[in-house]
Amino acid sequence: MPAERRRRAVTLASRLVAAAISLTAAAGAFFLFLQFGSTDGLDSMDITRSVLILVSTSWLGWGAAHAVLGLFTRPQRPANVPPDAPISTRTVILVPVYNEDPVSTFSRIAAMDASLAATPWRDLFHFAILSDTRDEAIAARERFWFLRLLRERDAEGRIFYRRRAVNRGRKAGNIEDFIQKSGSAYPFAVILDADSLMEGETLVDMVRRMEAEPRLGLLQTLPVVTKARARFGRSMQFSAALHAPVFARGLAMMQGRTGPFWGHNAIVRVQAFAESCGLPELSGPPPFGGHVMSHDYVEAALLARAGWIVRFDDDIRGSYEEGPENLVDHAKRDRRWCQGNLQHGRILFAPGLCGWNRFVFLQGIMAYIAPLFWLGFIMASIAAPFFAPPLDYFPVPYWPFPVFPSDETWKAIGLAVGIFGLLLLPKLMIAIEAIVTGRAAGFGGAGRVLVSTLAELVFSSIIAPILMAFQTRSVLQVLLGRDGGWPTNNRGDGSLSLAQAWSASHWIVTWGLLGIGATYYFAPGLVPWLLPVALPMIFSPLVIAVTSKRSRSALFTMPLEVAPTPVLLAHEAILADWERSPAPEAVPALAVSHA
Amino acid sequence: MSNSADSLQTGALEASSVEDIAVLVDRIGAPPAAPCAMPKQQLEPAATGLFSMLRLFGVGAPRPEH
Repeated sequence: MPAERRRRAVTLASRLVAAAISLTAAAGAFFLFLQFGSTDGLDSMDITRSVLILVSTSWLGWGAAHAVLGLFTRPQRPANVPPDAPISTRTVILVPVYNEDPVSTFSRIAAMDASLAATPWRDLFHFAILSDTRDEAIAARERFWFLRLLRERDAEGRIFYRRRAVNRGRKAGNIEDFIQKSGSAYPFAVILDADSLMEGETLVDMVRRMEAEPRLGLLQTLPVVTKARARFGRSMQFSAALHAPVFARGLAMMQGRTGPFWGHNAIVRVQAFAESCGLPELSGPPPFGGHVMSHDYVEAALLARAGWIVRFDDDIRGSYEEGPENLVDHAKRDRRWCQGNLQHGRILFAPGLCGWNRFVFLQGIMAYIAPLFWLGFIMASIAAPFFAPPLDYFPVPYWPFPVFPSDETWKAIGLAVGIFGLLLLPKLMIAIEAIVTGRAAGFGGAGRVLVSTLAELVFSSIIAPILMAFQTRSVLQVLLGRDGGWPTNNRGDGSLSLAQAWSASHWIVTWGLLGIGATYYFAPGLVPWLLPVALPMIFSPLVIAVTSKRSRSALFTMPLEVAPTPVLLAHEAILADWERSPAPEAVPALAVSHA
Repeated sequence: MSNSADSLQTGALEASSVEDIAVLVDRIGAPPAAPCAMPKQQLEPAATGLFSMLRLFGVGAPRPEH
């Protein structure tokens, strides 16, 4: 099959290109630093630091390679799926909830149902709200708002709600429970998160694609982050809207038939999922044993192991989610993901997995331990003067003139420029691509895209050391055996006071002060190099509090703010209407403010 | 499925007790019963297979026909 062979060739070629970019960058950084470090004689610390730079730069290069691949290709609709082909398969849309605000979540379901009603295929779609809520007051509100949802959408027999008595297996167990009890009723299932939103036409198109390829076990879309209000949230939202499609394009090329599953905004073939994705508990206690936390990557790997295609179609639009509004909520979510990804170390050698899926697990682990390599590099640099051999100005016997070591500072500067280039260039190139292709218009025009991109670069540089600190703590906690549990996601406006920010980050301030103090004492020459890391750490409470406040700037404008799509508008209208409704007073347990 | 529209009026809801609402939701909210087996998969390597290079590349993987 020529098309199949071509797809495989594209996958292999893109993997090789990415590996070449990553290895070239890593090798260049390694040798440049080795030359710089060995100016005063090669010692063990020079080699250690060069190896740390090698690993860190290869990871940065790997990320940059995604952008390079994405920049030089365009998303394409699968050739065998006509955009207006009729569909005939019954599909259930699963909405797992866990102590979420039902007004917010169920209004999204109402909006999606309304959006589906605008297509000829609404009757093929059912919704199932799968509640794992433990809080009885929230559960009572869920039931109240479920009935209101049924009434408003005239949806009895189309929208279902059930609450588990025991939330065994968390979200994966919740979905598994539904499939075990009701899975045979539906050939396809769309899996959402509580904050997911999808256009009706997008849902129909996903079914169309599944019908066109019977070997397709799972189809993932790229959810666009929406509805951010705070400075932190809007910066992340802008970055996701501008950069993510390009990075995702590169990712899609490399993944081929062994694509990703991100746990939501995806459709699965229920038969394939049921046969392949029953997750066992891992032996031993959490964090490495027990339930599989980041179940999505594992389910994608298990589908591929069973021979099903797992595909990420980056040309699909109309898929949305919401993101954390402040740095602390981001770090909390990241703590959970960190534990889940490190737990994948237990599954790396599971029998029969495709090589690429094992590599994806490794990438996930690397994403969380990479900051430790940078931290190790900084600490090794502070300690390096103690390992350096004494300078010998007269290395040649009986030669009367001193020999001064050559000044290799330019190599260190060149290395720093190269590393920052790997970090910054992809984003700048994507901004230029957006301007050239006209995509920038949705972001408020060329000028605003450029200014927003520069502001995002500054912003991400400031928060990077704080995120590094949170990530390092998460990794150490997991390695020390501390289970992060299953905290509820905060989905409010996310504003934090300085006191709240201080309570979440005072330990980062302490480490920042200790780090800069130790550097000043042991290696004062390094202080200017360390300031970009230490200053954001020292001022982290201020950074966290200020960036959690509502943004009133035109910076970080993104297309969905300028021109919201129908389902977003419908959701806004329904949510506003529901929030105006009086809370039920007759039932005290229901009379909880839903603001 | 029976039509429960009458019991879905807001006034009726607000006058109902938490227990009444729970019973109603259990009755009209339940998804269709259509059981589907979901067997547990093997994720952890067998002790003897840990160093099997062949398995790392997919040899011996279950391959259902479809």
